[in-house]
Amino acid sequence: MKRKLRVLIAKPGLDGHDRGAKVVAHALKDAGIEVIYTGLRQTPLQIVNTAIQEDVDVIGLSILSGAHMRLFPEIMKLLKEKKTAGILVFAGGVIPEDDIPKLNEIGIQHVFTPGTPTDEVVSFLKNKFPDRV
Amino acid sequence: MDLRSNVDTLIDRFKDGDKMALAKAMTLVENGASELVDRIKSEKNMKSESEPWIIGITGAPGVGKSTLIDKLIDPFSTDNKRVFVFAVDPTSKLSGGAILGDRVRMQRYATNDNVFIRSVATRGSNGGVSYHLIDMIDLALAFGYDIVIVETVGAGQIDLDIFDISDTTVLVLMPEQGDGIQTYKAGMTEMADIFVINKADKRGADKMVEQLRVMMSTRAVRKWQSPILKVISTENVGIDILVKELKRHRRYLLSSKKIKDRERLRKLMKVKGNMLAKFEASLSKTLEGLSNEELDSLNRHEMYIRILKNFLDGKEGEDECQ
Repeated sequence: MKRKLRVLIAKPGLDGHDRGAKVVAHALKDAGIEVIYTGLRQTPLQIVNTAIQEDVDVIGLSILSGAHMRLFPEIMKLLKEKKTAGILVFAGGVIPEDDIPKLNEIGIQHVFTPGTPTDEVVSFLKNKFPDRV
Repeated sequence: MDLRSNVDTLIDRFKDGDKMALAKAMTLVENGASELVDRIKSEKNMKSESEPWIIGITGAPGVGKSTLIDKLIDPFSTDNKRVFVFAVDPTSKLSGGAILGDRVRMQRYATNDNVFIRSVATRGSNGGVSYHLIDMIDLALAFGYDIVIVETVGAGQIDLDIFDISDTTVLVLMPEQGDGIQTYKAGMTEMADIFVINKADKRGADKMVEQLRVMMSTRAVRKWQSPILKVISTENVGIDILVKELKRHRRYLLSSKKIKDRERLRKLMKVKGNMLAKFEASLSKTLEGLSNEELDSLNRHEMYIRILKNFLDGKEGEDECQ
């Protein structure tokens, strides 16, 4: 039996909107993935500790507050400090095009902008983990 | 380097108290590598000054199990105990995926060094937890956690595995959850060590307490008379009494030697869970492999032989995963 893919869907920062996060969580569940959800208003440290405790393969960050350029680098720095090698990070939410290359540079593998069909998120993970999804 | 594929390093780091190693060992064991638990237990000097305590929290979906646990962690972890929480949610029968959302209510402990929370999907087990949960509990205890709290899936009447796993099991109910006759039925109410009527500020709480009292008064007297407690988790009301009653039950188990019975049950349950996981995986594989012609032409006996033979011949599928 293949090891089940485990994905953490996390909501960093102060915005209180998690419809998007829930829609993605749902789609991933329907694709046979185990999704752990953090709930709203998480600090970078809460997110990174949760990822470690849950031994996830992937973290999906959902943000609508505009604070991504502040919070995402902090999360990536913590992941590095705690030596969580091999966790893939993607993001989604209201993120201006201009910011995407900078986020890619700090290690966020993909940024999904508003309106992305959920299938795209699923096939992104399928490509990254071909024998596990 | 992936720790999961380098077991020696993993065990060394586990012994050094590295939580990442614990988390990765959990994943391996959850996927069927039960022998890892035996290895760790034999190599690590088990902390034995305090007896472990496993507390089960069960009840229907939405009665407030997660919120209750969130409030219980506080008094235990400030007691200088290390607390491990397993939060179980169901695996989808349609996709095999799951949404594990219990820890949302407990996230304030994500940065607390004495608390570790792990979400677990049922993965095919129908008993309200998962087949490999006891192996995972053993890892938590071997790592040095003093108290393990298990939250079952939203449970109905017969998801009773938790009673074989826990030392103390709390059944969480809420007002207006059925009439008196529900309390007489076989299943959970006859087994709970402690009843919690959560959301006790809602109408019908006293009636529910009364119904449980009447039920208790009509059943044979037991040495441990399960207390019935009114709690409002969100307001922290009644938590102190619940903690007292939990500790009283623990003392009762220790003084009556019942704790040994519970340990035995747990050991049996562990073997049963491991076997069922392997057998079900093999059974599903055999059944999926049957052609329609075979399904019509094989008689029952031939079918059973095929299933058992494949099981005995088969590689123990689950152990292959890295």
